[in-house]
Amino acid sequence: MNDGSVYSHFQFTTHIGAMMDEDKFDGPTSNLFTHYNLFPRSIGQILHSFEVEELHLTFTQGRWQYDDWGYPLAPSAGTGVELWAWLNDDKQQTNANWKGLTNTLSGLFCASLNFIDDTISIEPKMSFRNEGLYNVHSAYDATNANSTSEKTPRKLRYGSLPHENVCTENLTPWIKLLPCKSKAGIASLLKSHKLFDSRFYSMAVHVRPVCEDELCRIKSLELIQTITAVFDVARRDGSYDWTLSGLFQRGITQACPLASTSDLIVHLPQTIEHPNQYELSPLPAQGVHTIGSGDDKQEIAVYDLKKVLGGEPFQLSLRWENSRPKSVRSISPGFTAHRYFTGFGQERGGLAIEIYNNNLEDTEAILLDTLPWYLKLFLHTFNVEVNGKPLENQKDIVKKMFYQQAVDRSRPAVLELALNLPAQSKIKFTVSFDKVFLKYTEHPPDANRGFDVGYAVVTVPLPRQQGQIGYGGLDHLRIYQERDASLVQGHGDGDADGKDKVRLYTETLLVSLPTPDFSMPYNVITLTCTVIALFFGSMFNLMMRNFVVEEPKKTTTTGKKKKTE
Amino acid sequence: MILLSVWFVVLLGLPFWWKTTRVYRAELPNEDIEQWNEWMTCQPTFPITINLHLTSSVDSIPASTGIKDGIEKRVQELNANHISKAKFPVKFVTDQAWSGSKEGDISDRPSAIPGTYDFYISPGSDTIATIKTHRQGFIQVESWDEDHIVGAVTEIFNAIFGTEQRVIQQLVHAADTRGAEKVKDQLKAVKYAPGYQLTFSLFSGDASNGVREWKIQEAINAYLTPVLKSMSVVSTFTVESQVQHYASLTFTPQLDTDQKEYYLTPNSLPNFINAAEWSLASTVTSLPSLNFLTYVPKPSESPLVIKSGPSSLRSKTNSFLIPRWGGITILNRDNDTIASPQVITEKELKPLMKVFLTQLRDLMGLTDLSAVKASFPIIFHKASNEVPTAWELDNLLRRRTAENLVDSLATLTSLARLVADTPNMVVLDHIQKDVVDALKDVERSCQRLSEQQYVEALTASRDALVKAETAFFDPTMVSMLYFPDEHKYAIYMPLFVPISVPLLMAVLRELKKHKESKKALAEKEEEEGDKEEDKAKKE
Repeated sequence: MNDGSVYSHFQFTTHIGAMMDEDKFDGPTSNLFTHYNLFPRSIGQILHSFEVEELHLTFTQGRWQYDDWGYPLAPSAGTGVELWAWLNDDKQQTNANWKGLTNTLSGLFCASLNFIDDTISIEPKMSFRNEGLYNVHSAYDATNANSTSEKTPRKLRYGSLPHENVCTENLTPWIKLLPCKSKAGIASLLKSHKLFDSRFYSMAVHVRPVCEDELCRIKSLELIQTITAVFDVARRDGSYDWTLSGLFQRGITQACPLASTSDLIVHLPQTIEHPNQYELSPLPAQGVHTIGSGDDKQEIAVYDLKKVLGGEPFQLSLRWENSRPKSVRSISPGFTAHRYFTGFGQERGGLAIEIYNNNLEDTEAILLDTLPWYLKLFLHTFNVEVNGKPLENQKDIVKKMFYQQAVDRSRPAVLELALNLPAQSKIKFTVSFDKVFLKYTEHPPDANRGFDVGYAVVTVPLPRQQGQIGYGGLDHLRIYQERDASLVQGHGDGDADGKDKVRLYTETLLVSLPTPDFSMPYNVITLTCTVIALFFGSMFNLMMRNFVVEEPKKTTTTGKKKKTE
Repeated sequence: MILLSVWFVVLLGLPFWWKTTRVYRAELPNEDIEQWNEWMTCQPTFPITINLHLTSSVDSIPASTGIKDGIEKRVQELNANHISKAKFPVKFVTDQAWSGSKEGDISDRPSAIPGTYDFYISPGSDTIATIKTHRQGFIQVESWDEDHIVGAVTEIFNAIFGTEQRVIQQLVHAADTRGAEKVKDQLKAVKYAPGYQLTFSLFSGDASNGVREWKIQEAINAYLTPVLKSMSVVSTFTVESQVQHYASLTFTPQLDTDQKEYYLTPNSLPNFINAAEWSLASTVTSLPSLNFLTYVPKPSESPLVIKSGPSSLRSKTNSFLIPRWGGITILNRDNDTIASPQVITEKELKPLMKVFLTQLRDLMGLTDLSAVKASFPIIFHKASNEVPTAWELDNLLRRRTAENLVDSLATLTSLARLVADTPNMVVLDHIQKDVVDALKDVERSCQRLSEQQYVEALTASRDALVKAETAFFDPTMVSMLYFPDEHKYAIYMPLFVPISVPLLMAVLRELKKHKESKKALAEKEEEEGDKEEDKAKKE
């Protein structure tokens, strides 16, 4: 990384049903979902019973710094938990299935995913397109996979929890999904207290259907598990050198015998001017590969762990001359996006989203922003600025607009825009909102902290820059595998002109709503009661004694009064 | 007057206050539940019909009515010592004669009604009984007279149905007395559910032992499917399998240096399941699951056997059963002799499946009839592949129905008691409906039982159990449990105490005043009296 951090990315891919020919595959009732070998049963059962076709679940801690780090390998990088899934809608039970899915995953990963309920789940119309190639549940009755994917009713559900903390209890079930657990192979490096001691940490499970050949005759389900962590190497002693065992406090002693490939890839630093600033040891037997060309040139070292390991822990280290890099090439990401709140006070506020296009050409992009119902958006205040100047005709920038009005306590506000970003520009959207006074019980236990508002997502097509570290999309790593990357990309999310859709995540925000004093109800009850009681008591007494006071001259009564007093 | 009006308003307000702050509680049919617990409404009856077919090939036919009466008398004697309300009426029918005389002559039309059986009786050299897999039996008696026939039939009847009836008696009796005394067999068998999930798991201690896959699908199809099919009358099954690599034990097995083998003692078996690491629980289904584990130890710990000490005998099947949970088998593979170290073949799985089947029978509560003893030999025909016979299934049907009835009544009783004990608990209308429906189902089941419609009775009893449990575990029942009385006092206190003090004081004062005024009046009268006396004296 440019700032000397070490970026590590683990990726585990499991396929199920590779021999699932069309003739043998007899639909969802087939034995595919009954007998499990390497594919984890827990995931399979979930997919089966909730009719999930694609599942993407990401846990992230920390914020990915696009300006410094470029784009991450992992496709999702928004802080907190993000879950989105394509559900089969044959039986019109999508909502029930989605609810079941979130609850089950919540149990499986020990996370509060069950809080993704109707009030925060949305159905994006343009973002989060499906990545898989065919439809698992309908593949059996069709010959052409592409046509079925159009026909079968499918529904997208998306939900995120920006406030969720990721910790060991989420990692442990994640590791359990791996065939070799953390007992052998690359996963043996995963030690929670080192992983979570990092600047950025992200952990994901992706399930999608893929084709194994050009015509999609052989199909399989692909489970990709990724862990991404950015370590700050220089934090402790100022030295930018690193070793594998130093980073993870563990070593790899054996490759997972169940894995077909087990590679470790080092992206070498992109240095300029001083060619031999660093030393990598040991060098791989095949030497260093170069991928990409021109400015995007990137050198990588590939270690096949099946061959390298011989019982001894694998030692890998990178040393800089004088323990720090002299000059590295800077990364200038083509697109970045930021979002912040404007305004003050607890009554109203404003929201501003800025998108920078640093490229030399106009680009289409999609912006998706979800706001909880307790922020009431005013669409008439929606404004677009280009390079600081207000735009008269919004149609120039906003090609299409999809807006879902929030409904109190049942659904969030969704703003989805298809944009045309002019070259080298900064586009700013502003919109203002009112803050709602919540009910007493709707506040969280730490009410004065405020409410987290999830990120906005910008989907942009990015030219395939294979050399650049942090180039988005999972298919990047597939280049090194036997499977041809074009098989997936041809049908999947990539465009035909060699561009991949990359999602940029903006910052999550914290909004403080008007917060009541929580001991208030009881105080009010007590106070009111006391006042009423006082009033009643005095009135009552007054009325009772009036009788006595009005006739003071009667000797009998005064005598009596004296006696009573 | 003012005081009275204020008190009037307060007293008028009290019922309103009481009404508005009360939690909603639907009435539960407590009396009905009580009655059911005593089996007042309907007694659980398990009728059995037996058709006796006496051979007509012998000339001297004993009087069939005499035989019938004799048997009925003997069977009634057997059932004389009732301990519970359960009844077992037996009907013997001797109308049909039988033209055959040998076992082979029995017609191939078995009775399709559970609880109706055919016995074919003919004379022979000695007494032997054969119980076929369907609801048919053949009895050969050594001498062709009434006493012998009656004796043989009674003995067979007792052998087949005696244990079952005792178990049901105990069940129903335990429910009567609310004792926790469970029948021993029940501890092994899982609680009844309409469906079970069977999970077959292959646990491999280490990936280095080479095991990659197993042909479980084929093995299940070959050995398990027929059994599951025949048992679908009672419960349905879903089958799953999984493979887990790197499944380590929580402890190291002991080493027997003489035999060069590792062993597990029976004491260490409870710790065998590594519940924290082995993913056995299902994430989605709510059906109770039964686990069948095959454990392939890692090379450094194999062969792994089960025995109680270094020199004692090994367990023959190398497997054990965890009551109400499932079964575990340890599979030691000799990598030198087997053809494919990577794949566990169907042939290798065959003995394992046999063990699993036996374990499944135990877990489902099927009793093995062939263990019964009589004074003469009884031969039990067995279906291939351990498929339960019609006799065993009928037995299971009756027992499960009884269990369900007892369980659902127990649930309803505890629910009623819980509601009675927790005055703050909300009881919504649908709970009441569930309880009433459950009782109706219990009644339906009980009636079907007495009509000898066992399958319908089981279905009804299952519905009753499901409804009773839904009512018991309903989420709305829990919500108000933790609303303590202290809160109420804290909220009412500031209003009621300051208001009630002056009210009470005023009442007291008024009373005092009243008393004093009475006194004063009396004094006055006295004074007046005195005065009058004085006057009189003066006059």
